[in-house]
Formats: sequence, structure tokens, C-alpha cells
Amino acid sequence: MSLASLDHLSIRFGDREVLSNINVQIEAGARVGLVGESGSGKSLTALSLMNLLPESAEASGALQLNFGQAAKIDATQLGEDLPFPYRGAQIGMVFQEPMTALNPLMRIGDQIGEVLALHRPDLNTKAHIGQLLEEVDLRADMHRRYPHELSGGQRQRVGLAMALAGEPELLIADEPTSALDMITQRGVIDLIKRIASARQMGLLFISHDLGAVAALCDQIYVLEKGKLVEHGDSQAILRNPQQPYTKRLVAAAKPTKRPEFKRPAQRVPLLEIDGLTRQFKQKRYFWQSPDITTAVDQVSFALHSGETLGLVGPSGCGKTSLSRMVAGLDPAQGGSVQFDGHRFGHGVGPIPVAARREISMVFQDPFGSFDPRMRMQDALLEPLHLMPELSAAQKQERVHEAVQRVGLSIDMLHRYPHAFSGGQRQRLAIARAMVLKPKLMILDEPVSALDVSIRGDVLALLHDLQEKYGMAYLFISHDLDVVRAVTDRVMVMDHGKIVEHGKVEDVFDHPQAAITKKLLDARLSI
Amino acid sequence: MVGYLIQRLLGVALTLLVAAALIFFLLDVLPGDPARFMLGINASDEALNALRQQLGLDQPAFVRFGQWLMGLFTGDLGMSASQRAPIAELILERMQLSLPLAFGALLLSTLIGLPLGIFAAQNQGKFGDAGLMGLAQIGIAIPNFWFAMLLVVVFAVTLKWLPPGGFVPWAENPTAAFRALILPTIALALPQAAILARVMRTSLVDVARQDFIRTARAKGLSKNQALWRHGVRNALLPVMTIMGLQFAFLIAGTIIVENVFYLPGLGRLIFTAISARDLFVVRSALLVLVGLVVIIMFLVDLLYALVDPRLKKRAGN
Repeated sequence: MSLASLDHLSIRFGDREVLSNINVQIEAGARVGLVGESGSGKSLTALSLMNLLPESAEASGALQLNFGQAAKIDATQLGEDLPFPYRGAQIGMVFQEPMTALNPLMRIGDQIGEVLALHRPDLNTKAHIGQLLEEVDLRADMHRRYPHELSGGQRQRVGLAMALAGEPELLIADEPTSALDMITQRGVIDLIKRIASARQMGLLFISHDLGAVAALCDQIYVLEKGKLVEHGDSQAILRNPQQPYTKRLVAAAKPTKRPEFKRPAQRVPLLEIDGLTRQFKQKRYFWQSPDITTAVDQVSFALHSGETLGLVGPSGCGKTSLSRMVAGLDPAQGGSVQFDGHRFGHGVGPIPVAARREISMVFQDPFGSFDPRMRMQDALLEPLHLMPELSAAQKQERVHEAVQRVGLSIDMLHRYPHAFSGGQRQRLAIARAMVLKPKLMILDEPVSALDVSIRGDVLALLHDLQEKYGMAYLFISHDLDVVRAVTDRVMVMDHGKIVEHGKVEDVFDHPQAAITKKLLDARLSI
Repeated sequence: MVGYLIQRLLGVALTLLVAAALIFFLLDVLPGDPARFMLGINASDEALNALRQQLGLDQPAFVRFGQWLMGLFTGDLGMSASQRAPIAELILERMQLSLPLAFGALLLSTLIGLPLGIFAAQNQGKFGDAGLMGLAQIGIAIPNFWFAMLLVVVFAVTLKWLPPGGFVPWAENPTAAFRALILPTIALALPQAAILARVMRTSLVDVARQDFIRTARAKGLSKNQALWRHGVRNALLPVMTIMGLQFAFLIAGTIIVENVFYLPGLGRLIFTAISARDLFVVRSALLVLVGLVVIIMFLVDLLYALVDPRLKKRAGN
């Protein structure tokens, strides 16, 4: 009998069925991956195993749990009133958001001790908490720290230590690494794998990232819009997917290089960066001299029209600070930018309006980058105030053209942002960047928040737009496979400096800098 | 932490100095001559000039401002023209009433407001929540002078449990002094409690949606355990800010409530001094009120730094 199983589980919110009749088995000691895109019902599946479904959810079907003693739970009984002694004890859970999943006002040692006090009061000692911290590769003396004194990866390890404290037989991990950078993600995945085998725990690992699932799981369940479409051995499924949906997912996880197009020969680069430096000054008290942090340290590079330049590096290396200076959003403390005949930067002055309208940015978060109370129509018109010479009709024309270019229809424009999906919003963000017909687009992780199947479409769109309009792209990403597929040249940044640059194939196939090798090693591919 | 304290205390001193300057110069440009007021309309120019000289009114404004500031330190604030008594003594005497009233109301509103807010949040969307929040809405809408009169009619006039007004100094009869303050404190506290209950409820409902509450539940805590252990303390952070801001309104409220209950407090002192154009009293008493509010805000900031480790770090742990 399996450790845990879901039999014919369905979940509905009112009339809307979000999970239909799914069956999942987790054997003792098995590592099971649950894969699907956003909205497929992955997280609800996990929450039903924890009896933590939202109050408005109505479940049917059954849960079978076999922790020493078999128990069959009618899913319709799930809720606050159902006694559920397994939560935190036989079943532990780790969540996605490392920044918010811990109580900010409580020391991490106390947060781990709380689990022990509930389920293993005999083990609630400082020494045991130290052991748990060491098991997740933290130092035992970190128990007095508060969450804000830890990095994202460290917090996720604390979350893992809390889930392990009750000595679970089943560990549920819901996208535990999706918010972490590549190197940290690899570390956490390896850690979970190591601990799961050392403790012989069953693992239910939920992710949209097939690479992470391939690295960790021996079985895979694939969910599409609340229905189970395929399950079986993970290697078999990833090598040879049977269902069209799984095939699409697998194909999208391996982005392919776009065909090159002819670019006119240029003697002068569109963008030339010379010794650009960004420093942050921080002082605690007004009578102290400030601490200076150098986020970007004397960076120089050039970019031609129609070219895509990749920028990669670990989180905090200065990628975003650099891109904001190039766009003229932040002042530079050293160096200057030469762009299309304009010059700005340290000692030269702020970006001239004529240059500003030639540079657009697209950001990572398709949810946060639109004002929720502004219709799309107005959000897309907004950048055009930089072009007062256009008439209202011409501006409208621009917006319509941009929206059609990104594959959406004009009659959607009266809607508010919430009425669009994540992929549509990112298309609209690109449309907003396009209305000015800029010469340079800065793309800061433009596809990181998107599901893999949509990611391919957006990348293809960017490629087509570049071919048609000859824009230059500065493409920032932590996903090396995507960077390899879409860029011509790549720069690797670490601690504010460009440590390596060149043709993307040369850099990725023959990395020289230590950080490049580390980034490439951390890659999880299927 | 010491550096943080020094920085904050310097801030307090600067705020008070700016407030003192504003009060002084705003009152100074008001029409009206204190000397003329003291001596009456029929006084001769000579007598007026002599008095002006005696009061230092012939000096330039910034010199008088300096003298006033010095007086604040030495406790010599001059004489009240209307009450014929030293201003410092008047203020100290009135504070015996106004301080217990304001702090008592702050305490009472906290003791009522916070538990009700927590209860409402725990029962979010249910009958208890809706009922309490309805009551709170009424509590906020009712003007406190009307509520004060209602209390007098019920508890003083009809039931005769408590005195309808007036005050006996603490030194003479502490019990009577305490009894005299009960109704005014309630009148002042309840509308504030209603606001606090609403703010506490909203804040806790917000916190209950946070990821770390879900984490706490995944540990095996029940919904209420998770709310009490992890929710309430986090929810208190924004509530503390509101409490500090509310204190300013409490102080303003004492002026109205003291009038209804005929209490010789700081509020009434200012009120009568304004009517009597006794601007020397007004400026000093006002500064005392401003000082109280600034000190409360300072204490709230300190409390914040103690409760929230994220601030403690910035404050130099």
C-alpha cells in the first residue's frame, strides 16, 4: 500500500472545477514530481494532502494515508473541523516564497522549535535545532537570526528544516526553488535530494520547471488544467512524452536557436558604454560617513542595431543596476553612455528626451508592471507623451499597430490588466515598449515569470519584431538556455564587473571565468 | 541602539523647537496688545508703555522668543493676565487632571479596541464580525461631546452612580478625583476604541493572508493558534502607528470633553485663555500639548524598534 494516495480527487470553487478526478500515488521513499503550468491545480493537490484547502473549496474523492496505520479520509470532510494530526508531523511542507514564508518577527531557531514543541517535545532542545540547521547546510549558531538576516536560499533552507523537524515520512515541496537564482536553486535541489534519500522520505515535488523535476524525481505526474494527462517514470516521460501537452512542455523547455537574419553593416555602434559605475551610499546616522557599495564597477561595452546582447550573472551582481543606468533611469557615479548621437552619464548630465524615447524597457513581472486601475488603452498610450509631435489619431494608430504586432486584438484594449493572462500581459508590456518604435529595448528577465509554453511564443515574438524593426536588444536573464537561444553575444557579470564576454557559443562552450563555470554547472536541463 | 536613541532624541528636540517657533510667531502676528488688554481701554499711553516695558513687549520678536524659550527651561513663563497667577503653576495644576484623562483614555481604548479587533478578525465574515464592525462604525460616527452628554444623563442624572462634572484635586480626595474622571475617560476612549478595533481587525485580516501564516498552519497549528502566535504581533505594527497618531486626537478631544464635564483641565485652560485673549497662557499650554504628542510619537518609534527586528538592525543592534 502506498504511503499516500489521492483517489478520484476533485476540487471545485462554486461552479468552477479546478481539479477533476485525479489519482496520485506516492510510495514510501519515492520521489514524485507534479508538473504543470500556472493554474493547472498543482498547489491545490498539495494543499489537499495537508488539509489546508481554502475554505471556499469543495473537495470530493478520498485521501489514503498510511503512516504506520492506514487511514482513509473522505475528501468532502476536509476542513478546519477535521482532526488532522499528520500536518507538520508525518507530512512536512516547504513553500515557494522564501521572502515571506517565515514570520519576520521571530528568530528562526524559535520557528523551528515551534514544530518540535508540537510534535516532538522530547527533541525541543537547542542542540537538536542546531542539528536540524546543520542538516540543511546552515550553521547551528544561526538559530538566533531573524529571517531578514538571511539570504533567499538560506531562508528556503530554514523552511526545509522546519518541515523536517516533525520527522515527516512525506515531504511536500511546492515550487521551493522557483524564486531562487540558478546557483542557489541547484544547491537547494541537491540538498532536498540528499536529505530525502538519507531520511528515506517520500517526496512530492511540485514545479513548473521540468529541469528541476528531472534532477530530483523518479516519477512524474503531468497536470493540464486540473486534469492528469500523463504519469510514469520520469526519464521515460521526459525522453519520450506521449501526450501532446507533455510534448509541448518538453519541447518548450529546450529553446531552439532562432535563424539569423541579415543585418546592415554598421561602422558606429548604436550604444557605447564607457566605464559606467553605480554606487550606493548608505549611512545609519547623519553624523557618520556613508558606507559605499559599488553595484556596477566601470563597465564598458558596445551594442549594434539589430543585435541581441545577453547579460547574465548571479543575483545581486549588478545586472539590473546596469540596465537602469543605460536606460537613463538612474544617475551614474562614473562613466558615460553614448547612444545614437546622444551622450549622458557622469559629468555629462541626464538623458536627453530625444534619447529617452528611443530606449524602452520590459520588466520581469507582467502582473506588477501595469497600473491595475488603468485601461490597457491608456497604459499603452502613456509612453507616447514623449512624442508631442504626433496627433491623437496617429498615437492611436501606433497603439493599434503595436497591439496587433504582439498578436493581440484591438478590441481587448478597453480591458483592465487583471482581465489578461500572464502571457498576454507580457505581450502587452512588449507592445507598450514598442509604441515608441525605439532603437534599443532593454529586456530584464522578460520570460522568467512565464510558463514554458508561453515563453517560446514570447521569444519568437521578440525575434520577429527585431527582424522587422531592427531594434537592438539588451537581454538580461538567469536562464542560460534562453540566453543561448536568443542572443548573439553574451556578457557575464559578477560583483559589478563584466568578467567575461564574447560570442554566446564561445563563452558557454569554453567558459573561462569561475562564475561562468558555476552558472553553467548549476543549469538543470532535461 | 544608543546611536538610534541619540538620533531620535535630536529629532524630538528639533521638532519641539520648530513647533515653539511656529506657535510663538503665529500668535505674535495676531492683532491685540496684551498690555492694553490687561489695563483696559481707558489706560493712559504712559501706563501702557510702562507695562509693555515691564513685560518685555518693547523688545524685538526674536528676543522675546529667546526669553520665552529660556523661561521654558527655568519654569518662569510669566504671569497670566486673566487668571492673575504664574502660568507655569497653572499648567502644572491643570496637568494633574489632563494627563490622567488622556493616558487613561489611551489605555482604555487600547484595552477595548484591540481585543475586539482580534475577535472580529477571527470571526471574519461571520455574525460577530459584522455586528462588532457595525457598532464600531456608529462609535466612530458619534461626536464625543454628544456621547459625553449621553453618559451624564444616564450614569450621573438618572442612575446617580457618578458625578455629572466638576473635579476635586487629588490631594484633597483621591477617590472623588478618580470618580470624577471615569465618565470623561469613557467618553473620550470609546470612539477611539472603535477606530482601533477597525484598524486592528483590518491589519490582522491582512496578516492572516500572509504566507507565514500558511507556513505556521503547515507546522500543525490550528487557525486560531497560528493567528495568535504569528498573526497578532505582526498585525500590531501598523496599529501602533495609528495609536500614536490617535493620541493627538485624544488631546484635542480633551478640550471638548473637559468643557462638557466642566473639568479644570489643560484643554479648558486654553479654551478660556483664548476667549480672554491671554496669549501668554495659550502659547505655553499649546507647546505642552505639542510636547506630549511628540513624546508619544517618540515612544511609539522606540516600541517599533523593539518589536520589529528589521528596524532594530537599522537602528544598530
